[in-house]
Amino acid sequence: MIRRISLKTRVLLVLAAIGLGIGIAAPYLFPKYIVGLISLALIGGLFAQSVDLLAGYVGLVTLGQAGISGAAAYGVGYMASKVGAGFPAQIAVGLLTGILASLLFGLMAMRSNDVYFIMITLAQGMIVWGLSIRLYKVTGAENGLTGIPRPEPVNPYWKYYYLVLVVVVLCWMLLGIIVKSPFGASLKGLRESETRMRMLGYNTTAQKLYVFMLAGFFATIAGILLVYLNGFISPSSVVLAASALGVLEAILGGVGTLVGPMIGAFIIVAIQNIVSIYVDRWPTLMGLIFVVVVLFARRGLVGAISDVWNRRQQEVSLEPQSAQ
Amino acid sequence: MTSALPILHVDDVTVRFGGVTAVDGVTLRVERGSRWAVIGPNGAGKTTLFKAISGEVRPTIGRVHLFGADTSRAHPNRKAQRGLGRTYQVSELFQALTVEENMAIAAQARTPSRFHSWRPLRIRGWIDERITSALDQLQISDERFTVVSEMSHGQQRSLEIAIALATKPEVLLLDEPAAGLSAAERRIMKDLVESLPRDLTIVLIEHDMEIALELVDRVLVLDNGKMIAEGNPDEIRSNQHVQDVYLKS
Repeated sequence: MIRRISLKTRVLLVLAAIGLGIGIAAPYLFPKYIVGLISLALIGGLFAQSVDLLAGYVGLVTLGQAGISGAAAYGVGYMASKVGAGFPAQIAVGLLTGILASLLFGLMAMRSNDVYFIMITLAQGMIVWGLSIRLYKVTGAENGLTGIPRPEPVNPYWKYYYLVLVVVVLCWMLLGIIVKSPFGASLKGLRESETRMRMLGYNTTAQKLYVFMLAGFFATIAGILLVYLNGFISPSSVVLAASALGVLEAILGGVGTLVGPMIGAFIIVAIQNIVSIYVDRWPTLMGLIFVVVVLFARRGLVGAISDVWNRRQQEVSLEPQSAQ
Repeated sequence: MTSALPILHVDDVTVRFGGVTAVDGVTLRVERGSRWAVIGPNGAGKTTLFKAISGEVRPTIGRVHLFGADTSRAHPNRKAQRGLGRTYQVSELFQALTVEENMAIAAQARTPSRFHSWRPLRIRGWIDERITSALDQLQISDERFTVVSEMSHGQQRSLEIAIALATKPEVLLLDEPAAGLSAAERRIMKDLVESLPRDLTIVLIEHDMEIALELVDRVLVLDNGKMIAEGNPDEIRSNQHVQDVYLKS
């Protein structure tokens, strides 16, 4: 049976194909600096997607996600620069520290909601930041951990870029499956009414822990990719601003979607690294863009575009009737 | 009185909030397949009694037995997993989702698939049948793909019940299903509740005494948290104390 694909789906598929095409051709099209920025934006986008899995799909805004990605990055950095372990051990320890941090933070936060959840996750992020400053022998304190080499097979910048592209696209697909799964549907229910979910038979505490750990897993992957991209990790990667940036990227692009946080990450990376060359007051510009989006496009850029599209489609469908 | 184990047994339950006693020594024995109404004026403790049954509040004193097991300290989700369904006086629906999505979340609630995260949710087979059946029963099949926030109040009240039915409960607590409806809509809602399967045990709270008495076999009357009467609808209609309480309110 051939299913008819809607115009919206066809447009989205074409846009996805163009995006993927540019992504694959990027090292041939752009200089090294820009390819590095695209890598950074892809990793930032994955991080923002992990934030959005909680904020957009469950309604739990987190300000501690950088603590989880940072814990994973420190795990890799410690094994690389202090222990001198091989890449499998570095990555294994990175995954382990990130997932353990997710479990620990999830157990602490899963019984809270709304502003209490924000405050608990904020505190969790601050704990990781505090440890990164205090545990000099493990984290290098303010100096951080430097000289973290990339795995040899992907050491050249363009090879590492392709690794980032493949991992981010795979994670994006996994996230897509999760949000469309029975569990994903139940997350939307949790966002809408936890009372009703409990009365339907859902263990909402377990649901929250599970989704927190899933989000933490994707933040962990982002943290590991970032530490190999930069070659170092320092407390600046786990400060509150790093977590808040993920939230801003999700809001700017559109919460409750997976493409929104990715678009938000590309915009913010572009402002921070390209617009800032020409505009001294680029943080002001970023703030203004954020204010405009919150005031005039509450569902982010993706939501605004979707609204305009839907309105246009309605007008088109009404045109033949009004012409008669 | 039958000697069979009641499907729901509220045994001398008291619920206190600080110095306020919302429910005071209430006992209720609900047999399988029977229909009960809990009536009383505002503040009588009806909804608090429901909350004690569903596990949303814990009884300060007394026990709640469900399906023969002591569930006094069980969480609402555990009771729902055992087969208790509940609707709310103020609709607790997933407003931003479609009717079908609401129903799908409910239909999978008592199955292991609710935690499946590595395959897409497909509304077909048993899940589709269950959704279709519940929507047909409540006469809102035409709204299947409507976003809940765009539905009328009356349709949302029907969806409240349809969602509870989608979990296949054995005991259904209906908290004022006709709340906020016009007189005509109340009659429709009464017919809908009346048409629910007879093997489904129903306990309902209804402010409209006449509608409540037409729907049930047995009635419990509360006032100020205390039981003031229990009996069949005719006995309750002719009870002077009940009439006084309702006239007073």
